[in-house]
Amino acid sequence: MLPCRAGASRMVVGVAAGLAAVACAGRSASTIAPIPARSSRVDRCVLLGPPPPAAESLWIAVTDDVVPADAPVARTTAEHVVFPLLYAPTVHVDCDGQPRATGAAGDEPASHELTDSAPTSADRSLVLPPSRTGAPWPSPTGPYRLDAAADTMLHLIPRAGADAPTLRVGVISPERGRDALDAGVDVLITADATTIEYAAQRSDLARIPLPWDRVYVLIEPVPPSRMVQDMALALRTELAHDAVRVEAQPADDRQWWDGLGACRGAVPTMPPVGPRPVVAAPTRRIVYQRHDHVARALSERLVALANAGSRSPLGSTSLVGPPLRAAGLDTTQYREALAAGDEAGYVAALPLHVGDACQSTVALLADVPWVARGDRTTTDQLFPLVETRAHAIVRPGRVGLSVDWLGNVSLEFGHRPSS
Amino acid sequence: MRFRIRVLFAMIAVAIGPLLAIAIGVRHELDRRLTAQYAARAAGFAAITGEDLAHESATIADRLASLRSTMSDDNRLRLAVALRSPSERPYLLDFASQAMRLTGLSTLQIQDEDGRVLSSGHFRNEFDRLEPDLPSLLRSAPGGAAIVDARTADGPIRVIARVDSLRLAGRPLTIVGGIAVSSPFLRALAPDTEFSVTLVTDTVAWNAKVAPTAAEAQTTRPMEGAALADSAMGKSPGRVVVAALPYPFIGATAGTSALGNRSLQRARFVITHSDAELADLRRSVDRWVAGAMLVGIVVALVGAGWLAAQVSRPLSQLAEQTDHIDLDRLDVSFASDRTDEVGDLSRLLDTMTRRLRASAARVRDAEHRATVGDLARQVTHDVKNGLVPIRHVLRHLAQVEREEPQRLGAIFAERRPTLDASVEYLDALARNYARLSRPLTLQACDLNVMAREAAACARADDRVSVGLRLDARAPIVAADALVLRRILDNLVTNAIDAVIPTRGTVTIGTDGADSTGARIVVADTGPGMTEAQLAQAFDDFRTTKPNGTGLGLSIVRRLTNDLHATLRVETAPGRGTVVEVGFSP
Repeated sequence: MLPCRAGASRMVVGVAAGLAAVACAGRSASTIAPIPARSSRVDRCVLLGPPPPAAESLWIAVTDDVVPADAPVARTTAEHVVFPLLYAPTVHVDCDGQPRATGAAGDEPASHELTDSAPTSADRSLVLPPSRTGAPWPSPTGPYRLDAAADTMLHLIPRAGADAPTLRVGVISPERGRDALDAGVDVLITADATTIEYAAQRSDLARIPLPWDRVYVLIEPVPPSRMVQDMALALRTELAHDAVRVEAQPADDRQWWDGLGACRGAVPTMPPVGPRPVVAAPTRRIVYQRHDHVARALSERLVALANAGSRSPLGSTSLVGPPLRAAGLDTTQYREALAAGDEAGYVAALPLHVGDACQSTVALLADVPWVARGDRTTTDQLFPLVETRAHAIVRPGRVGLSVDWLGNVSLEFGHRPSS
Repeated sequence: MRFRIRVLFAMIAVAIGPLLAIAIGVRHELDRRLTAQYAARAAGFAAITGEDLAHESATIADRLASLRSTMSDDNRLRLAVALRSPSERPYLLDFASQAMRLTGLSTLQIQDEDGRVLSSGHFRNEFDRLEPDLPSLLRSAPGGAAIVDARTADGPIRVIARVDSLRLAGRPLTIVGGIAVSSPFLRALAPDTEFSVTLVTDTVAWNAKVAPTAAEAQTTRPMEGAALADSAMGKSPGRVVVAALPYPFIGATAGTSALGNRSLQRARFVITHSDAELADLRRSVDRWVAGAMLVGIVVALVGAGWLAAQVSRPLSQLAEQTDHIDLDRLDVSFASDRTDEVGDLSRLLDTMTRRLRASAARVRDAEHRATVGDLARQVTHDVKNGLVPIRHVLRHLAQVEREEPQRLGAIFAERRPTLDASVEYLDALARNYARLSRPLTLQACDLNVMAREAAACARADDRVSVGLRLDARAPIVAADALVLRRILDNLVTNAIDAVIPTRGTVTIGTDGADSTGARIVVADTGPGMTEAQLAQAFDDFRTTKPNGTGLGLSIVRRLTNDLHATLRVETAPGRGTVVEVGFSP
C-alpha cells in the first residue's frame, strides 16, 4: 500500500503541504503562530517540540467524534489524535509521504501487527461514519491501552513500563473549546475559528495548525453539471474564505478519486459496470450531515447562490432552477439519501490523503453507489469545494506534536527524570 | 272518533302546544344570547389580537433602533463596512447572526445602498445577494411593517418585518429585522384555546387607496374579515371564522431576480374559534329542552288519558246500562250521587227509565185488551173460512133443486164430503179455540191430498180458475194437518182475492221431497206486490182489500213458525205472487 493523494502534480502539492508546517501555516490566517523551522526531513514532520519531560497526566480535548468502529483508521481529526495512541501502523509514512519502518523515530514502540478484528482502510466508509451501536474497540497495538471509555471521555493508560503520562481524552462540542481552555486543558484539537482566535489572544497557549486533512465535495447525482465542473477558483476561494468558519482553502481540481480509470481491473472489488440510475425528479435539496458545520455552511452558500437566479455564479447548472434548499440529515437519513441519489446535491467530507487511492475509491463507491457507474471511468460527479484543517492549541511545555502523511498526530513526551 | 280519543287529542294539543312553544322560545333565546356573547368575546379577542400585532411591530422597531445605535458604536463593523477589510469580513458576515440573537429577532439583514446583503442573520451565507426592493416595500407598507417571506437555507420563513436605516462610514445601510410568524407566535396571539389565529396570504395587491392605515389595519372588522377569510380559506370543520385582520405582505422571490419583482400584497390574520363549546352548550340546551318536552308529553299523555277516562268511563257505563234497557227489562237503575254533568245525565236517564216502566205497563195492558179483539177477529175470520164451502155447497144444491131436482140426490152425495170436511174443520176449529193453545199434533201429511182438499174447498168464482200441479212423488211431511190446512186455506183465499179483479188463475202445487225438503206452493197471476207491500204483507191488520181483516198472512206466518216450516214469497208488480211453504227433510 503506497501513499497516494492524486496524480503526480498533485503529489507535489501534497508533499509541499506536508513538507513543512510553515508552508501549511502560510495558507492560513495571519494570526496563526509560526511553526518552528526544522532542518532535517524528519523534523519537518514535528509540529511542536522538543518534547518536554512527561507529566503524570494530560488532559486532551477534541471536538470531533471518536468512533470505536472507525478504529484503527482515523476518519476525523479527533481520531487522528486518539487512534495513533492505541494502534501502531504497520508501515509509517512520514509527512513527506516517505515510508519508514516503525520505531525508526526512536520514541515509538515496536511495531505491532493489527488484530484480525481491525479492519483495513479498504473496508472503511469514507463518506459515512459506520454504525456505533455495539461496536467494540479493536485490541490496542499502540503505546496506550484503553482503561475506561464513555461517550465523551476516554481514559488511556500507557503500556506497562512505558514512560508516558496517563491521558484523559474528552470529546466536547466546538463551542465549548474556550471553556476547556479556561478549565486548563493541555491539548485542544479544534477547527473552531472563535476558539482559535481566543487562543491567539492568550500568551499561555500555542496554536499549531495541523495538516490539511479534509476535503469537502459536492456530489451531484444526474446529470453532472458542467458549470459546477468548471467551478471557478474564485468561487471556491469565496467558499473557503467567507462561507465556512473554519480554516479552509480552495480545493484542488484533482483529487485521489480521479484515478478511477486506472483502478479498474486492478482492484477485484471494483463495482461492476452497469446502467446509471435515472432519477426522474430529484428533490430540490442539498443535503449534508447535520452535525457537520462546515458542510452545512457550504450547502447554505450553494443554496444561496443557486437561488440567486440568473445572477448566480453557478450559472445555469442543474442546481439553478426551482427554489433549492439545504437540509441537514442525521447519519441514517443521509446514508439512505446518498444511496438513493434522488437529491439535487450532497455535500460530504472526504479525507484529503489516503493510503491507497484505488482501495479508497472502492470504499467511496460503496457509499455512493451511483457514482461512476455506466461506462464512466472517472468520478466526475464529485466536485471538490474546500480543504480544511484543524488546529492544536497546546499549553507549552506539556507535550510535543508530530504528524504523518495521513494526518495522524502523534503526541510526544520527553523522558521523565529518573527518581 | 271516540270521545276519549277526542279528549286525549284535545289534552295533548292543550298541554304540548304551549310546552313546545316555550321550549322553542327558550332555545331560541338561549341561542341568541350565547351567540351574542360569543360574538362580543370574538370581537374583543380580535381587538386584542390587533393590539398584540401592533405591539409586536413596535417591539421590532425598538429592537432595530437599539441595533442601529449598537452598529453606530461598533468600530470593527465600521471598518468592515468602510474599508471592506478582508480580515474583518468574517466579522461582518457573522455580525447579523450575533445581533439577531442578541436582539431576539428571527430575521436580520443588513444591506448596503445598492440593496446588497452585507450580513444576514437568518441566512448567513446569503451574503452579496441583491435585494433592493425589500426595504422600499417595507417603507411603503402601512404602519411600516409587513409579513415577509424571508429566505433561509432550509426554505422560506414568514416574519413580521420592519426596516430601519443608518449611515455608517458614509454609507447608507438598511436593517431589515423581524419576528417569525411561527406556530408558537400564532399560539401566543391566541392564548385562549378556543380561539386560534392563522395567517393567510392573498395574491391580491395591497391597494393603497382602499388600504386602511396602520391603525385601521389592526382594527377588527369581524364581518368583512370573516367573509374574506371564508372565501379564501374555506371553513374548517368545527371552527368558525370570527375576524380577519389585514396585513401587508411581501412574498418570496426565490429562483428569480430579486430586482423589483415583488409588490405589496395582502395577508390576513384569520381568527377562528372552535364552536365545539357553543355546540356543546346548544346540544345541552337541546337535550334539556327535549327532556322537558318528553316529560311534558308523557305527563300530558298520562293526564289526558286519566282525564279522558274520568270523563268517558261513566259515559261508557251509562251506555252499557242503556244498552240493557228493553220493554221487558226496564229495571235498570241509573241512580248516581255524582254532582257533575254525568250525574245529571244519570239522573235524567233514571227518570226516563221510570217513565218507560210506567208507559210499558200501560202498553201491556192496552196490548192485552187489543189481543182479545184480535182473537175475536181471527175466530171470525176462521169461521168465515169454514162457512164459505158450506155456503157454496148449499147454493149449489139450491140451484140443482131448482134446475135439476132429479139430480139433487146425486149432487148432494157428490158434495157431501165437502160439507163434512167443512163441518169437521169448524169442529176442529172450535175445539182449538176452546183450548186456545192447542199443542201441535204432528202426523204424516200427504201434501198432494192437502193440496186437493184446499182446491176443492176453494171459493168458486167465474173470474178465477183454481188448478193443481202436483208432484207425483207424493211428498209426505210431518205436520199438524189442521194447521197446514189453515195455512193453505188462508193462502188460497188470499190468492183468489188477488186474482178476481183482473181474472186469472190460482195454482196449488207440490214439490217432491229431495235433499232440500218438500214444498207446497200457492201461485196466482194477480197484480203482485211491491217490495214495500211485501215488507208489510205479513204484519197484523195489514190488508189491501176493502173488507179484509189483515190477519190472513199474519196467521200464515205464525202457523208456519209453529210448524218450523219456511215461508218464501216471490212477487213483483204485474208478475203475480208465489208463496212457498217449505218443510225440512
